[in-house]
Amino acid sequence: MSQTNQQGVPEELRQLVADVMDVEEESVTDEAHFIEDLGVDSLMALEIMVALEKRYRVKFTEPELRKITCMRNVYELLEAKQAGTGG
Amino acid sequence: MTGGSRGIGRAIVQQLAADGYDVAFCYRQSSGAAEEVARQVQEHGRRVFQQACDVADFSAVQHCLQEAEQALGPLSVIVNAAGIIRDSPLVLMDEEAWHAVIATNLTGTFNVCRNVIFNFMKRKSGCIVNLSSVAGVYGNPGQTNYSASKSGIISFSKALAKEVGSFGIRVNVVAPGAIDTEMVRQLDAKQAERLLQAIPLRRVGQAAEVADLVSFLVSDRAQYITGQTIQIDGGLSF
Repeated sequence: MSQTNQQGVPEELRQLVADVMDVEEESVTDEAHFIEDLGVDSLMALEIMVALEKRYRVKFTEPELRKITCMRNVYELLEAKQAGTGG
Repeated sequence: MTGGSRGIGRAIVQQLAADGYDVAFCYRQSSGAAEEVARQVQEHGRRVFQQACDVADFSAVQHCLQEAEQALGPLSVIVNAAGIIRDSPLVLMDEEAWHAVIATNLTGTFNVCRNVIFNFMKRKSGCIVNLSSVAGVYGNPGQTNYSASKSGIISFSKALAKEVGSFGIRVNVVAPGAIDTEMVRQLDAKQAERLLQAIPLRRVGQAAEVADLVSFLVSDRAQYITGQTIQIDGGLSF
């Protein structure tokens, strides 16, 4: 993962999640709740998970699905996974 | 495949093996029958995994499915055929009879579907067929518990089909009528005659005919069918 914005979440990751959810990248703030704030379907978390697995060559487990609720959680989950400390 | 050692479940296992599937199936108690079914699968040149499993037990189902995947690889088709009866008029039915039937028939179906759905959704493919009954469609006196469980399977499956359709997963229900199994053979002559009079085709169905329908529903020929309940009952109506 390369360029980051001031919150630390890489732009590329934010763009990927925004594309999956079909929302504007600007609306995907670190803390914006995907369901409550961005109005996406609860199953969208699984779509995001699949996209992350494909792009970053990681594997998520079922319990981790519940953590995919906002950008910050996604970033932390992915970082842990890539560091080999998650899942 | 749950309930694969006897009756309709057994016929479905045999048909799926003939169709070219490797088959994993579970059964409750009849290990001798299960071994015979496993041999028949192997005679089709397919791999088989069989294990005793109480489908009413969520953890046992989870464990069984994990072992099945280790043995045969990722699962692509699920058929829930495990079912029991504890018949009684409601006024004489005890709580155990109610709970046992709901637990095996309906909760068992939930337990299996719940344990496979995550991987199906991640892979964006999968096919589920749940066995209901005409009792679940019309209600059958003396079987309030069985009718409720089989009716629950229908609505569960319809809801699930709507949830996961966008992930390429199909969920359908087969609702058999009177099929030539141990259950139907136990009827006395008078009951059997009354039953046949209620069936326009004037015969009971064969387990192989139900298996044929399941075979179709899980195949590529049924790619645009989901959320449906198909009765296979010779035209029977209550």
